[in-house]
Amino acid sequence: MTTALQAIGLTKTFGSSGGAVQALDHFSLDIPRGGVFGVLGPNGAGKSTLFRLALGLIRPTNGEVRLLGAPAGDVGALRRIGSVIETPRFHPYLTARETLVMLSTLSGVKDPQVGVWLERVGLAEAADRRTKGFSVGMKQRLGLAAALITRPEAVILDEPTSGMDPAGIIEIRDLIRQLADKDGVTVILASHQLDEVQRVCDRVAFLAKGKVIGSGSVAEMTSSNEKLRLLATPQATVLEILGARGQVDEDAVLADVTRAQAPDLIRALAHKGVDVVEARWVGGDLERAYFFHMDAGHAD
Amino acid sequence: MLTDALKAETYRLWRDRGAVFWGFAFPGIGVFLLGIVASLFIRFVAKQQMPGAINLGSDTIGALGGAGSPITQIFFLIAAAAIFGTDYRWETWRLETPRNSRINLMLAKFAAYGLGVFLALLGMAVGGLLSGLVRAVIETSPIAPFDFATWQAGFLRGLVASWLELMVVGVITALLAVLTRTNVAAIIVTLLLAFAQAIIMGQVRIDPREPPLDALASFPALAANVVRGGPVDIGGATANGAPAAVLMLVLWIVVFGGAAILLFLRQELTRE
Repeated sequence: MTTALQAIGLTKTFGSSGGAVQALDHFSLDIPRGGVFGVLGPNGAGKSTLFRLALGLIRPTNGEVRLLGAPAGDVGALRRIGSVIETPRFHPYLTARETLVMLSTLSGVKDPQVGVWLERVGLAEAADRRTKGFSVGMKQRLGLAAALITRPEAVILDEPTSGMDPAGIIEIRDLIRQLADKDGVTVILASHQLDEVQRVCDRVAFLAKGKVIGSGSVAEMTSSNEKLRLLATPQATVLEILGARGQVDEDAVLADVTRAQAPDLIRALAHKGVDVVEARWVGGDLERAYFFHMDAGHAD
Repeated sequence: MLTDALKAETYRLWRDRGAVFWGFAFPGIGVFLLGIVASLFIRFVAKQQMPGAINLGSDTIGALGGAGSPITQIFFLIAAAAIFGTDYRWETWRLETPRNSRINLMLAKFAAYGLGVFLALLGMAVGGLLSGLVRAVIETSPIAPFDFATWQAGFLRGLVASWLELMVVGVITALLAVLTRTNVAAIIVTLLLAFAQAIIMGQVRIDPREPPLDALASFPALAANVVRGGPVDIGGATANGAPAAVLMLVLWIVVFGGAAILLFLRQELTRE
């Protein structure tokens, strides 16, 4: 089975000589089909550049990028992809409905079901309003509808919830999960909102300075920085049992153990007469993993 | 896929009411109003009577000839800029280029512009016809008998010449819009070229019986006048020059239109 997006030794340099900026530097990444894949990184990490290269909006300086197995810019493959790159912009004199009709016509979609998609992204009431007066959040929703109206096999969403209110973010997050789980659409998502990514993505890749500095499943990424926080007495005995895996955290001890090791640890503590008042998992969020990889990436 | 692109482009363009009105509808309305204003002036201010009957056939052909004026071309420039510069202005290429091939997107724009120009020219002819009818009433002049055979040949020549001339304006605007990524620059530069051409043509004397190819190649307006068979500033042209003039106009369209397409095919859409 081909990948949804494959970058092979991709380099992209903007400008020339003294003013050149290298947005991607021998960048390689395989994004599998199925599920939701998050692409994370600070501003300038190369996320939008990767997407623009994949969609054929710009050309690589070196290397190759393939979309659904086809070279970047292949119209046949592009028609099986939906995309929202940065904040979408529209012709201001067209209404939301007209925008979708125009874009679906351009894609050769025979029965676009414009009303259904406007409803699904929460724009039914604004369907016949010109996009000129749309807020950023409304433009994001319309961009999403425009990406999905061709019923694509995969969608590339660059910051799809930026400018949205909390309720809108939840709606879009649910829609993204629905797309992956019910509609079988591969979702490739770039975002700065790490908690959102953790909630919605199955796999992630961290980007920094135009390179991949870490990738894996969200479960792997989060479990690697998860610790068991033990409020127990006597603390000295807890530290003795844990050895190098134990670390004092105010009145508690942070145990660097896996979830599988936890029952044995609790039994060992009880056996040594330790009173465990509280034991709970802390950390385990993508934010820690992100900053861990960012620090490591920048150190390189 | 080209038909999808053409359908989408015409759908979008039709809803850009300002561009459609000023770019394609106003030249016809302008011809009508200008004819009436001129007639009212002659009749009531200058207190003169135009001699002879009103020839409606000549009025429609004369109205088409108005497309050669740089003033009229300003309106077509508005339409051309709205078609070729709109996706740079509103940064909408990133929504559109993944949906169809770039060559189709650009060809659809040329086709939409060409169709708009064709309809606008018909509108100008209708404007000329209606203003002739109103003039007949204002000036209380008789209407000359209509000679269809003579009119047909002159009208077709005028339509082809004006369409080709305005297509040249369109492809130059397209090239400049792609080059500069702004429609304002495309309008200003094309307009300056049109005025410069009109001024130079006014100064240069060319043998009307056999217009030299280099002159035809240099001045699309001259070539259009030769096709019309009715020179304005440079003396009478002969029918012998018309095929070469058509060829030159087509060459302008192919070269500049081709350059716009080639440039767009290779263009990096970093912001749009």
